[in-house]
Amino acid sequence: MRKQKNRFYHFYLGRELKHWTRALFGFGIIVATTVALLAVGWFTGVDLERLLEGLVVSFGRVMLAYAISLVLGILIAFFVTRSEAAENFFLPIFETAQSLPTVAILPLVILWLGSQSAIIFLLVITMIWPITFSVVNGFKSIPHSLSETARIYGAKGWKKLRYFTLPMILPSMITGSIIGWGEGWEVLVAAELLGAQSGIGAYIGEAAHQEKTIIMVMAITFLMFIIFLLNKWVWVPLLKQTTKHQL
Amino acid sequence: METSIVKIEQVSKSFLDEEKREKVIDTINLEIKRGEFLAIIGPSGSGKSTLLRCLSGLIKPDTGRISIDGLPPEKCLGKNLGFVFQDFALFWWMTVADNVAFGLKMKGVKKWEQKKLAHEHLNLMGLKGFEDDYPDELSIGMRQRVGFARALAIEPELLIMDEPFSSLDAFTAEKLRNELLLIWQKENEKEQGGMTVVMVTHLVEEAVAMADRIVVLTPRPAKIERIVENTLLRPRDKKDAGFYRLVDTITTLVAA
Repeated sequence: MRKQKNRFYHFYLGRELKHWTRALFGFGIIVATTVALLAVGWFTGVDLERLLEGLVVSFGRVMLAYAISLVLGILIAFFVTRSEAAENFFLPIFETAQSLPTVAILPLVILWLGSQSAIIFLLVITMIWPITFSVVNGFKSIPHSLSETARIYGAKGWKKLRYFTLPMILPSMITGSIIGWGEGWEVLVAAELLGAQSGIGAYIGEAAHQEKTIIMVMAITFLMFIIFLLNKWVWVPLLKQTTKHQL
Repeated sequence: METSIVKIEQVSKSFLDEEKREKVIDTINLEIKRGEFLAIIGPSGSGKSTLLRCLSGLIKPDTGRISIDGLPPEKCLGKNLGFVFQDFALFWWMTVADNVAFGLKMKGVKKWEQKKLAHEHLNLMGLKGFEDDYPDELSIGMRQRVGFARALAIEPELLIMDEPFSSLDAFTAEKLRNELLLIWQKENEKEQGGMTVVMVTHLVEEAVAMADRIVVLTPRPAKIERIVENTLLRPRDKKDAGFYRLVDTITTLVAA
């Protein structure tokens, strides 16, 4: 009896359909969660418009800081790995910079740059190091014979970058980005709590000030949900795609 | 046209190894004839690969001069040099066809021509139908076929091979050796062009089966122990007495 049931499943549903049902199920859960969150928010009297606006502003900040960190991180990693001497000199400095208690210097940076730029600056000096270290590793783990192949066939300049270097370091770039975003969110909320009038952190801070627990919980839940979606829809698929054929 | 394509004059190379300068190649002089199949053999660690890397322009010798068609090897990078690696050195993020077209793309060959040449050379290596596969989806033997197709696609005057069959199983290696020999012979029957092959190996039988001349290197630092002419008729028979004698002679030289 059981055997027959299995056979039926394989013949008529097949792996494709199984895959689709799983995807549909996952999507359903996400939609349901979104609806539930919005409903709970609406019933508890959370200002949804402000909450979502805050999320958008915060996301924009992380995005901007990420773009800067990515470009700078790759450049730094590229130049540092040019020579062993540079590596020995700079990497310990970067490691120290990475352990800098970022939030501690926030008031100072706000004084110098104003709160908007200060938050971006703080995010950059947080997100840049995981990306840099990961890409340094990426450059260092390029097999000798592969870079020799590129040279043998005359790869140079822009073409080398486009067809050899970037695809080669892409997986390490993504790994670094995932860690960078993780640390970025952490610092972002702290920085916004301390020094911003907008963004999800500022919203949470305001709620805390007014002792509105439900708003705080809702804001944190929304934020977690967004981070979850980003990982599920952006980072994990990207990492899977770029390492799919790695030997 | 000059009869020799490569001239290696007084080439030496040392590496700095843990603050100790170690000589790897010691004053090598060698001329390689146009169209010949040259094997370089020596004990492991003798500097065979270093010599190949000097010859292909990947590293610079400390002293001495190398010229390919009258040009220094660095000037030949991306032009008329093909290189086949022991570990294949395929780009895992590219399809098989893109791997084969890599040299052409770098040269700036037009897209449609890249595609055409890539497909031609994949056919030549018996990989028709695998154009859109990725290297990780191929067997080990097929991967090295892609390595050969990539090197041959740029229609090299000089094909340099660093133990190209060492990572393959015996059966696949033998098959691929014979196919390569046929391709090399065909290239040299053409009126124009022609292909010179330089192969590093540590297998005496492989060298005797394939090469016109066999350069035997000494242990590190590598000098030329002897250059052995191999006049056995092709296709060569491994059960032939002459074949055995030559294998024996060279084995003695390498072991000495």
